Amino acid sequence: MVNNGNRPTGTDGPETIKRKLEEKILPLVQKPGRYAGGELGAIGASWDGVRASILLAFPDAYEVGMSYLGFKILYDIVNSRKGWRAERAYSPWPDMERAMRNEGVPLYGLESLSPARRFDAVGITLQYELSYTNALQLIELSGMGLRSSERKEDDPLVIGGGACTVNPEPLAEFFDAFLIGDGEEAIAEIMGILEMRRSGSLSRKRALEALSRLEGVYVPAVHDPSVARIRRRVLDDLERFPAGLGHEVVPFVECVHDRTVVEVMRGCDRGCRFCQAGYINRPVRERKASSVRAAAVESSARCGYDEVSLLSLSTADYSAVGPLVDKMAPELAAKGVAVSLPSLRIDAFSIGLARKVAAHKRTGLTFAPEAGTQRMRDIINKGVTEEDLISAARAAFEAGWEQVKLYFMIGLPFEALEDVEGIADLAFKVLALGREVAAGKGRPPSRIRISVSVGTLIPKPHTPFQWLGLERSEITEGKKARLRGLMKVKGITLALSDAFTSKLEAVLSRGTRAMSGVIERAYRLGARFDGWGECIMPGHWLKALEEAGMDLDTEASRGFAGTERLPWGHIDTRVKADYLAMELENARHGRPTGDCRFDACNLCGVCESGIGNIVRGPEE
Amino acid sequence: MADMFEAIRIRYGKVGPGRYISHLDTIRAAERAIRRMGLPVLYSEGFSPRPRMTFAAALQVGVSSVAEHMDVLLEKGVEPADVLRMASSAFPETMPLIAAGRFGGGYALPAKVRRAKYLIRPFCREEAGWSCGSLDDAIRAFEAVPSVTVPGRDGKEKDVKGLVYAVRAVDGALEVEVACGDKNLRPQYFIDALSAVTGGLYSGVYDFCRTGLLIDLGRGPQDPMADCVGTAFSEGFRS
Repeated sequence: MVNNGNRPTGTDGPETIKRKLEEKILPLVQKPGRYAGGELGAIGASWDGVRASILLAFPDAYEVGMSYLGFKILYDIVNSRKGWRAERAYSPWPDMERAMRNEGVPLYGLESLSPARRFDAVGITLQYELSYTNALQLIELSGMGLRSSERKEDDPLVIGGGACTVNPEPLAEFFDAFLIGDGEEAIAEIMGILEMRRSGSLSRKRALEALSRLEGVYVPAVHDPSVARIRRRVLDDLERFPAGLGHEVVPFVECVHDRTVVEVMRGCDRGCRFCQAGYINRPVRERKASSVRAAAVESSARCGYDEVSLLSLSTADYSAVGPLVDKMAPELAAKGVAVSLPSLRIDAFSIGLARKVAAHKRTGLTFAPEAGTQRMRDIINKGVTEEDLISAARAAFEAGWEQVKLYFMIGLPFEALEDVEGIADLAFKVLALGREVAAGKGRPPSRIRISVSVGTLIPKPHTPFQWLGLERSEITEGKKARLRGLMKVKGITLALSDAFTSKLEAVLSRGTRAMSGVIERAYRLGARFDGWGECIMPGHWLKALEEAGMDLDTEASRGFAGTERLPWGHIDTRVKADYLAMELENARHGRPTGDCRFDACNLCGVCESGIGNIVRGPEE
Repeated sequence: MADMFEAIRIRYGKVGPGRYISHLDTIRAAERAIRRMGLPVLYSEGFSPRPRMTFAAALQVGVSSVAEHMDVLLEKGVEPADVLRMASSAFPETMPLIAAGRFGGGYALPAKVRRAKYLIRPFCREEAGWSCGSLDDAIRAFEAVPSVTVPGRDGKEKDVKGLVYAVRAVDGALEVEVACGDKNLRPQYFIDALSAVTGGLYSGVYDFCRTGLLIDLGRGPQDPMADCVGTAFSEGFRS
């Protein structure tokens, strides 16, 4: 139980914080390395000549936050500029939060152990809804009022960013500003405003007004959400910024992803109708293969990781991926470094790629057919057929893989029980195929393992399913029971998502400003790390909802009429609402929509002068 | 087998925030440092090849050190002075490389570790009931008792007396030489024992630093670097 009573005032200086950490706190908490700093590549502790500063705070554990590319990019951009300073902070685990409150130690930057209130802004990334209570934790541990309206003139500005800002309303009371969209260019403009504020030429109010005039920035105290229109910020060409990061921190503590990450492409036009990332990151912008390769080689040598990951929403779609991997994999392998691809398409081409990169030999392969029947895959516009899956799986088994992971969703719109049963059918077919291939090669068929992971569709803002509610849990639970019954088969393991977590995520993702009271109450009751199975406390949320006169199931499954102004109607992701509505109709009729990289333009509305898909093709 | 390869023995430290790095994280960090250096290191076979490195003795989280050691197998020989030069930017300040020497092989380093030296200071003198004048008395009390046991982390009573080889007070700090290796004494247990023989005077939070490691190759306890040739020391650690 977290003690909410003691609130650090945020006035301790770096020396006091250091002494308290060394003597009173770090000897007594789990994994103290998370809170000590001193990593390779971190900037020094000196604040000499600082004209503007930001504390990049991640609302989850260090091990999660250190793996987030967005903050690595911002850290590099800010710290590369003379006079600008970015430091890092992460949510303290409950034992550390308790210790910090007991000793009166505020949230601090790991580089200089400076208290959060020394910075001109605290930037908090909102990557997933289940981190919202941790965002409040970061604000309160900074020694500021939770609500924007309670903050004092000299408190840092609290700025949110990341995917969840496409519906900022549930957190609008707590943040002074949100940046919606790409941060590379906007961060420089924001730092410029912070610089004027630090020099005394802008009051807090004037600084917020200045922020509100930047493209992509939403300031709840300035904008009226019923009439405002905040257009998502888009970086037209990733090559405006280097692929390799000059300031890259290499953690000591083992993190979720300990590897060099190079972003090969941003955006995806495949148009899977459930996928928020696919709609809010358009258009597709590829980097040059030559800059990816140079960054991978340089960065892995500088950081010393044994793996380089080529990141994007769908790396097999990167137009130069084949030649790039052919060139890079052997070059890096000679230095003991493996290449990995975070996402594979379901086709023989992807298996061919996977065979070339050593990292995937260690683990199994994951395929995401998403749905069990062709009818359902047409509804969600997942352009994959059963033949695709079978041929990809055959290629994988023939190449020697013995474990295959299949990812599906249930609770999809217009779903029938036979679509759910189709998941089991597909899994059985893949298992039988694997055994057949293994037997044919004289290997024991019993070694073939299929793990099936089934998530629940959570309708997200700015997708064609945004008007629909979460499927009622009694229906979803029935489907899960059916799957459990069907899949008690040797060689298959089944993992199902948790019903409460799905509902909470649904409520938060499509919530209105009225949710802010619920989030604050759950936080006060002790809710933290809601995405962690060992931490989530459903009771706190149920109590908070009840006190607000809300019911979890009703809120989660609430739909919106097509004519209604949506709670996120003021956020313009550049994809037209009409387009999303048309896609919902296409889903209803099982009509596929093509990928505009290969087929005709779908008129989604994203492209305009200077902004459009950048597909470079193989070089040389 | 090992003497087919060239090997280098490295002494490194864990200072400042480096003391909070766990043993497993230290191994990973050292692997990355070796890769950053570009040493021609030998890799293990298999799906996930790892640099062939051996670590002398795990260090408790929270304890700093200037006496960590590892052996690294190389494809071809490298001069210790070159190792130091390559390491200067590859090892983080919190995990500095202190010395390197050529090592002839023939044994596994961890199997030969026998003793470790620690320097112990209280973080907070008042809370620890610590005063310089009483240190000698406490040491005498410790030496006078025939045996002293403390509760270990596993709940079992742990005999301390037989695992402490030397204790002395130096400039208001304690210097101890204790068992390390197969028989092992965490320095905290020594403080617990000191506290037990003095009626609870020495409980509190301490700053522990490992200042030396001793191996036994059949000639009595010796510094691991003494079994190397051409040992080169980093500036600032020349001792």
